[in-house]
Amino acid sequence: MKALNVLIKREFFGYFITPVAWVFLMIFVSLSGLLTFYAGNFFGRGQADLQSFFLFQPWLYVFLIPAVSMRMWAEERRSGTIEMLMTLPVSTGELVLGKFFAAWAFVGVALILTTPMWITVNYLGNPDNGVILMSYLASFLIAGTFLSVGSCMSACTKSQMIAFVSTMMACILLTFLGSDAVINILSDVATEKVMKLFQSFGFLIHFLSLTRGVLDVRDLLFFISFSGVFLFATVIVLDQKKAV
Amino acid sequence: MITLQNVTRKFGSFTAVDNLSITVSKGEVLGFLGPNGAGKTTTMRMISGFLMPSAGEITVCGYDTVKDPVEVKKHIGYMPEVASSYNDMTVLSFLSFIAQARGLFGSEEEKAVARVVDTISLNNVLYQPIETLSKGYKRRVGLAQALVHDPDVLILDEPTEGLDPNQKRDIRTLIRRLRENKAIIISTHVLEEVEAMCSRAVIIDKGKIVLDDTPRALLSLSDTHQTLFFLIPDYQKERAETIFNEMPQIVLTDVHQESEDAFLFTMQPRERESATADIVEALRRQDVKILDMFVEKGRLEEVFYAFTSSDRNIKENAK
Repeated sequence: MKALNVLIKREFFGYFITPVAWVFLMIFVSLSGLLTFYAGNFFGRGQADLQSFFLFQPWLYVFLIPAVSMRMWAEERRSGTIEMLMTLPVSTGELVLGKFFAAWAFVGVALILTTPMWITVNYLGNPDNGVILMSYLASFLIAGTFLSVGSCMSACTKSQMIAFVSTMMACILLTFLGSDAVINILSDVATEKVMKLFQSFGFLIHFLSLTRGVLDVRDLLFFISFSGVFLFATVIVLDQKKAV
Repeated sequence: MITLQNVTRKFGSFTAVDNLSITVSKGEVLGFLGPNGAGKTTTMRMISGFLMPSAGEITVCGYDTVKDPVEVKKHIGYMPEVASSYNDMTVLSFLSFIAQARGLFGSEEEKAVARVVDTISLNNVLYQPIETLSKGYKRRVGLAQALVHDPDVLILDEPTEGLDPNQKRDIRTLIRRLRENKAIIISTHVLEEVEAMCSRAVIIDKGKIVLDDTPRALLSLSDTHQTLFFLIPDYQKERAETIFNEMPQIVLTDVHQESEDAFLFTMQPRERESATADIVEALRRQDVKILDMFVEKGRLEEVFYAFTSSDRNIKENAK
């Protein structure tokens, strides 16, 4: 447990040593603001809630999370530090979790930086703060799940570029599964059951149900188990393919 | 402290390490030699727990590297061939991280870091980001990282690679100082290093051990081992030559003018025994003046070449 803390600490502060972290935070905060006001028509809707803010978050994550997760393992492989890291007396599982939690905490910081939005909406009207809190939780969860996918992709390669692109593709796919567009295409060829299956794997469905303020344990479990599977896969990939 | 038993490692169809067995005990410094691709790095990576053997068993301080990897790693300090560290960290924060990851906190951590900084003399660069350091300093950080927790077993993959002669000397002195209560394995290409700091030398080729002995014993396998050189004044050249030719123990291989008034005689003993005393005695009796003489103790380079090159004839000659 102590070792895990040490790893999380190093990885987390490691983000802030490089300018990449600051650029990421700036882009995330300004883009989520822009999307809320322009694409989401925040003022035009005339409602005191953050729906237009959260609606675009998964799409923002699709592009920004891969940028956070790409260097996790790919960089360790490229620079050779993986050898030093994996001869420390910690298990592969702890290493994977350490990097994952650090990245998740980093995205958490980005989310916290968007709280002026929350303050604004409270200033303008009387929003349902429970729903907003739940939406933040949903947003944090979906970010974590994307990060776990990114962790696995990053472990497979030593090129950050490949890690970035493959994570982005995977995240787009996962988000799109179960969206209306995919269901419409499927409805011609697939049976009801297959469509249900696709829908149940779609990230957007689970995300939207949480942002409506309904705390369904199944949605929580969905994201947590999804992350778990990909983190476990990361451990396997690393143990199988340690040398470059 | 380190035991390898019939260890084999394959990468796909390629066998990097082939049925290797070695035991290294406390106080030993094992020099690991071999041409590039002989399996040195793979073997060291397996001992350090980074790679798993395909077959066979490795134990370090009684722990199995497959069953107890974390325990094994606790007892090992490992400096990889590419001793890269987190480039954007400062030396101090990097070493603190390693100390903490190895379970040293608070005053223990401070003491351990201070000790290693002192041993490797990193005082001048403590607050510099590692990427701004020279190559020599980077390698020293790599070495410091392996020593932070004062491990029982030290695995160093080409520790002096890329260092200047002074730094190399420092590292050799350091290793000689550390060897007392540790088992150390060092791989190197610099053969004189083996003579300077190792108590035992193992040459491997194509994943197999071809020689395992003390550096001294390896030297005696050299062709030039016990070659004798005598410097004789020019006016006594003929007399000396007759004496040398009459000696049954040696073969005169070369005579050439070394300086204006002296000749250098090179000779090889017929048996692998020293003939020096007899020759000196014979020369004295005939009043031949010996200006200088020396005995070649052999060159590891020759032994290395003879045992690791694929040409069979050379190998047999060497034997």
